[in-house]
Amino acid sequence: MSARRCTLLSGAGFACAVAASFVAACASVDDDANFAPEESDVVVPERDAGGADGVDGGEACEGDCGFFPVECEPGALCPSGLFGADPSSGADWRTRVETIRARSATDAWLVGTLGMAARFDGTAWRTVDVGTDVTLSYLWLANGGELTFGTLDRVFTRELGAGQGEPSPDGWVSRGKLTQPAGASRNVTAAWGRIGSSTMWVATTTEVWRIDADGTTLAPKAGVPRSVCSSLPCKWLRALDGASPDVVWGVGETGAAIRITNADSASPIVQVMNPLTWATLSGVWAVSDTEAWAVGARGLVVHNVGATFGWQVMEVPTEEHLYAVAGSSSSDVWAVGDKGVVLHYDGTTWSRVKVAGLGNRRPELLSVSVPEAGKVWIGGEGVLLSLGGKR
Amino acid sequence: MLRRFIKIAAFVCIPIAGTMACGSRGIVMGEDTSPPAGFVTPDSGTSEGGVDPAALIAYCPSSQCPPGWTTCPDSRFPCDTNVLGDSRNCGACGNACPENTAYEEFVCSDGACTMECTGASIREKDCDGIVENGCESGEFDPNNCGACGVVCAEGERCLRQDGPVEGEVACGCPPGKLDCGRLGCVEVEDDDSNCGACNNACDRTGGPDAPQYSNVYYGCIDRECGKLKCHATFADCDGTLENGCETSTYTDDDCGACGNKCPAGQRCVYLPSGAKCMCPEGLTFCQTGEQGGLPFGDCVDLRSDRRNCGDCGVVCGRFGFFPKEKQVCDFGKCVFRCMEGSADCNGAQADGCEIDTNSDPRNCGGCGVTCDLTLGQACVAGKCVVEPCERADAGEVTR
Repeated sequence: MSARRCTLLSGAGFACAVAASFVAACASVDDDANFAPEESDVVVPERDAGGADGVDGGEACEGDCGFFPVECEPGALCPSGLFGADPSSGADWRTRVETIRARSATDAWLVGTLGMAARFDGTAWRTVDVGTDVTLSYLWLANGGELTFGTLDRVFTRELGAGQGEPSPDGWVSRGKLTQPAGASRNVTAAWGRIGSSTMWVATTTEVWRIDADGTTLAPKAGVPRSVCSSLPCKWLRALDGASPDVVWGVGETGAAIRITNADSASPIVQVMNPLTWATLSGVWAVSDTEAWAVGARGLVVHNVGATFGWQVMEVPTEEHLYAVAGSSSSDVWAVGDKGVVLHYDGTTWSRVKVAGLGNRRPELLSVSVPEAGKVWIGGEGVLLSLGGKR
Repeated sequence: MLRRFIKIAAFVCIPIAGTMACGSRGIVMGEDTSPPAGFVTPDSGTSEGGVDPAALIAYCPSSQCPPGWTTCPDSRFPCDTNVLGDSRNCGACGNACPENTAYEEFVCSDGACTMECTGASIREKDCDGIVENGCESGEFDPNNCGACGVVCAEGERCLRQDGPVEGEVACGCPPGKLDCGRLGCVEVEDDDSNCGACNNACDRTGGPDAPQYSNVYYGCIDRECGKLKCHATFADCDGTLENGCETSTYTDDDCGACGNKCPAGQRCVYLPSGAKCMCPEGLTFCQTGEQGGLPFGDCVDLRSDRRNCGDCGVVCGRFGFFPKEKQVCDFGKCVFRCMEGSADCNGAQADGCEIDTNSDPRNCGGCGVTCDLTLGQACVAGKCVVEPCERADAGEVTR
């Protein structure tokens, strides 16, 4: 088993036998990834992926080219459809994939700028006609259907009730303008709903509120009111996430980090935390009600294990802005950001992961989804990537 | 000598451990910034293209300001003031150029304050060259009509040629137009209020015995009143006088004119100039109101319109004045870009591009790029300042 694992990794240029520390790293990934012979396509990215020996073609490598091989290889992120290898085919390279969400490894959705939407059905990503050309930034895979919007003036749903006019060919309907709770802001800074839930959380420039979907209607509902967020850091949140109905984590501008408890009740409670930074936090991933990862400006990665003042700043091999984080377990966490940066945490160390097939592009990577270990989708400016190019 | 100095300096970085990109980081005291002509041909101290080590010059971090730069009492960083181009410290610290006005803008050029006119209509030109009276010549100045030195003839006014708000400014009016005492020349051929002459308004009823028709009035055509004309938004499409102007031109079938049917995907919308089928391929109609039963708004490109970025009404920007950043609509998404010399190092929208990468020695040329803070090394124009070392081993750096 162990020999099999090392064979896989060394095949990707990882010298397990060379250094004791690397051997330890191999062992650490073993606990979570399944390396049984019949399922050996799960390949964990090698560490220090950008070494000079990682350059394709044997040409001299300067700068970051070691992290951007020409051809897809095991352990690297590779193009996974929607966008062509050149600008003339597929979606426009200027399109941004803003959000990717997955119910499972075979059922995922994404939305992006100027009406971009697509679904993964277990075989391939296919564009979806939502019936609009406006930018779609937020996506919720709700109980029984999906909801997306860019602004609250135009909300679109699928199988969550009737809309205005005829459905699009792919079954999406416009729900028109969604009214916010009395006194709340419409300037959305983040929106997120747990997969399969009936409630979406909407963060704005002044507070946090909720949208309830019962399969027919969309009902705005108060969350954390403006009066609370005027003194606590729950306005201008940039990201929300939660692992259960009871707790929602939120991060945002000037190092805002909160945990909303009693989240499923009529009166959620804001718990303020100190993430040890004034920099903006742009992404959060909740491992559980008591553990979360957050990422932000200039390569900031912080980890919290259940304590109000328990955030820990992690060492990571980048100083680029990071925008999103997700994982399958505490020892399989992925972060993405500016200039094509992808980082992976294996339970011990954060390391840089190669991104293949981008040529000279170094796009912003804005969203990451990890429905299960070894299955990773990353979206950004003109790119949709998956681990090893698997679909 | 200076030229040779630079050429050799450019070679210096090659053998020194490359902790810093050669030629990209340091700014050298007294450096000539012109391109080093003949760089490819070392001109001394070499044999067969090699470099004579004795001719190499080592560089050390410097806290001294390069020529033209200084540290003023209100400086935030060492050497952060360019007295050759800073209008608040023009020529010397505290020597501020006059405050800008709505008509005049003062800039510091080579250490001296100079005035530029902003182009505001009332005082758009500085024709006398006297700074004290600012931009003294207005748009309709008959002694400087359209440009300094263009003098209108006696009794001739300086006017806009195509009406009160449009067209070039010139003396008098072109043929077919009259000076009716307004800012612009008046077209009198078909003007119901100035028919053939200034202020000659037509009787829209045509007189007590004139027959009346639906959506029709009596107006001016070819400088004569009493000619039948359709009300705006109507047209006589069937050519029958008895039913007047029977067709609304505010419909998708007759949009703006008889028989102008809007193609599929377009609709008839109101514009100040009349109804028009909108929008052309690739543009989206963003409705902002209604006029005469027609939607009113604009055709916009959601990919790049800063006021409708990605969706109608999504405005790129925020309240306040943020001179170091530029809000742009980048293919349907509002993003802000930092102007040269500034950077967003904390990722916060609230403070925008908060770092001065031109002068901050902790972020010199980019976030986290640090000069030698212990030695007080200054950051000028985004580069850490270096100077030739006094001793060969005095902490030399690459540049």
